[in-house]
Amino acid sequence: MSSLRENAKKLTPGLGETLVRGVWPFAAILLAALLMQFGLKPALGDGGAFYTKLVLDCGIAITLAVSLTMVNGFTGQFSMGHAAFMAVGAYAAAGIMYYGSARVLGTENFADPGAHAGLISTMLSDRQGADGSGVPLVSGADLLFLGAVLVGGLAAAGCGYLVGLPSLRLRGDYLAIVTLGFGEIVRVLIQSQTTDSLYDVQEIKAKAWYELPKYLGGPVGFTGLPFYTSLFWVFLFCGLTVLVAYRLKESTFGRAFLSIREDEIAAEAMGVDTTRYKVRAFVISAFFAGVAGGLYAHTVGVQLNAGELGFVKSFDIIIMVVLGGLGSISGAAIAAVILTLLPEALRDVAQYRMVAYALALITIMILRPQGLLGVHEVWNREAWPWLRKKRK
Amino acid sequence: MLEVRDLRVNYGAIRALHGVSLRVERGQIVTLIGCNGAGKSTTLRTISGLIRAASGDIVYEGKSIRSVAPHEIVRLGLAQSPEGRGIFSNMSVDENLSLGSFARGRHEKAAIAQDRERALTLFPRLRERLRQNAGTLSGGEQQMLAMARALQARPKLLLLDEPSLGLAPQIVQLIFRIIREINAAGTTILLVEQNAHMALQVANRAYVLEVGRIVMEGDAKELAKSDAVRKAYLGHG
Repeated sequence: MSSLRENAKKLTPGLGETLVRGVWPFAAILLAALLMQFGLKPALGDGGAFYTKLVLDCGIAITLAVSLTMVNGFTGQFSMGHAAFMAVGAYAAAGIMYYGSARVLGTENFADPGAHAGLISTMLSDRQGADGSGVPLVSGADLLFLGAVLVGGLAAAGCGYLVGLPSLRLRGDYLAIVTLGFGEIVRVLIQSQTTDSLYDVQEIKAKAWYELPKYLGGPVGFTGLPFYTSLFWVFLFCGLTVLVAYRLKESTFGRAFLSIREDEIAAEAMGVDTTRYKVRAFVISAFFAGVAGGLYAHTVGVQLNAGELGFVKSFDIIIMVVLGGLGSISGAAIAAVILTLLPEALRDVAQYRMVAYALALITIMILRPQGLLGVHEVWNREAWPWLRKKRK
Repeated sequence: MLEVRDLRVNYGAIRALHGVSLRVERGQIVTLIGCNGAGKSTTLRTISGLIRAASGDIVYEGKSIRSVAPHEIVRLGLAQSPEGRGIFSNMSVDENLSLGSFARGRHEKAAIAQDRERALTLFPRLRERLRQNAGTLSGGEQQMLAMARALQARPKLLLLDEPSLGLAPQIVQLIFRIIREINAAGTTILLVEQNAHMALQVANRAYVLEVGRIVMEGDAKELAKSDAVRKAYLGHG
């Protein structure tokens, strides 16, 4: 048995290795996000606001698609209410950010990122002035924003737990219907249970904190939200989502999700607590959808409205995941980028845009019914069967 | 080691098992033979917790496991190679094997690596195909994978559900030889089979199941000689 113990020692990485292996992906993501913010954005120039916004939309789309991949792709549970998690995260983050900054900053211009955001949250180019001098890298408002987005993610994760519970009993079509219903419930509740948001800082201060969730905009939408979502924040969270998804796919913990997709009974026979893992998948996935929602709510040019986050939005995300290949992280990411850019590229054909979009989708699904990459990743050889054939 | 007492199982209004009792002693191969729909797989799946019994009891190493969840039963040392093999077909052979040891703790890493090596020695074909998608394996290879995967849990009692199903005679021979080897290495086996001929050859004890009831039991070699079994299951008029 002593050789067994020696073996075990060999297989267990030392503290140093664990630290390096655990930390470098986070460092890489942070660096990439900073590069996006301070490298790419200036490179696109002043006239590049349009392209900057497109890149940002792509980042949010990737976060949404990859987070849905964890449930629909890895675990094989068909959820049709992903936009609802996004809505929960968006409204929670927006409420905290908007009313939080009114309370904390207490000035009339509390919702103006131009006056409060640090360089890290600056999206509009006029904020930087000539060289951005005098503006801190990270301001207190930025930290409030980070907190708001994280709380939005947690709120969505809580909802993910609730929605995950019926998935213990329901499968296939029935679960799809339940999640669809959940999405509509969230939309209707937000639209019917809240009223116009408050604009006046004194009025906001006069209300007790627990009264504020009533003023989230209702049917007209939550207007006047500050635009803190920058390339930095989007790609920070996008990177984290992809990292978590990847680690899940490659770990024992994540393989439990995959095994449920492949054969639930066999998974159970392997000792996988399938019910618990299904709920976990929903919770993790909903967290990142909620984060994406928080980022979406504070994006330039977005008017947060629950009506926009109904089942149509859910389907958009499902299409990304199916098109990329159910279970493929890179596939979902690539599809998210394509489907975000495609409508813009088709702008020239104006009224036929949606027809062309639909045709493109149909064509891809006929040519590659398993999605662009199937269950594989771009770097797997299995994803490129036609290349392999040629080599032979 | 395992004792099933008067097990009754219903599928909705239909009773599948009408009081099945059987015993498995440590170190033995015990087989459960019978025709299609006799309730063999139902018995096995009830033991591993995938189906709940209406009444009766399942006692494993002195403790009742009748109401223990299936993923907990695996942790008690009772692993199943499910009917139809239950291969994770979109995953590689290697990933399938590693899921087999899912229930074992992190501290067992070295022992798991050892068991993996042992299984690959037992099934050299799998070693050649480690990185291949399990869905692309032949039927025989998939059966080997299902058994190798079940062994990754280092079970004390291995439940095999129709390992010969749909396989060529030559592969069936091979599978049964390996079943013997696994047993010789110290794993107790409960084997459910339609291929009574092969099953009775490797087993120590046998039970014959007919429409949800045990109709015969005894020493496997004796049963193989008995007229009733020869007529009904071995094709000797």
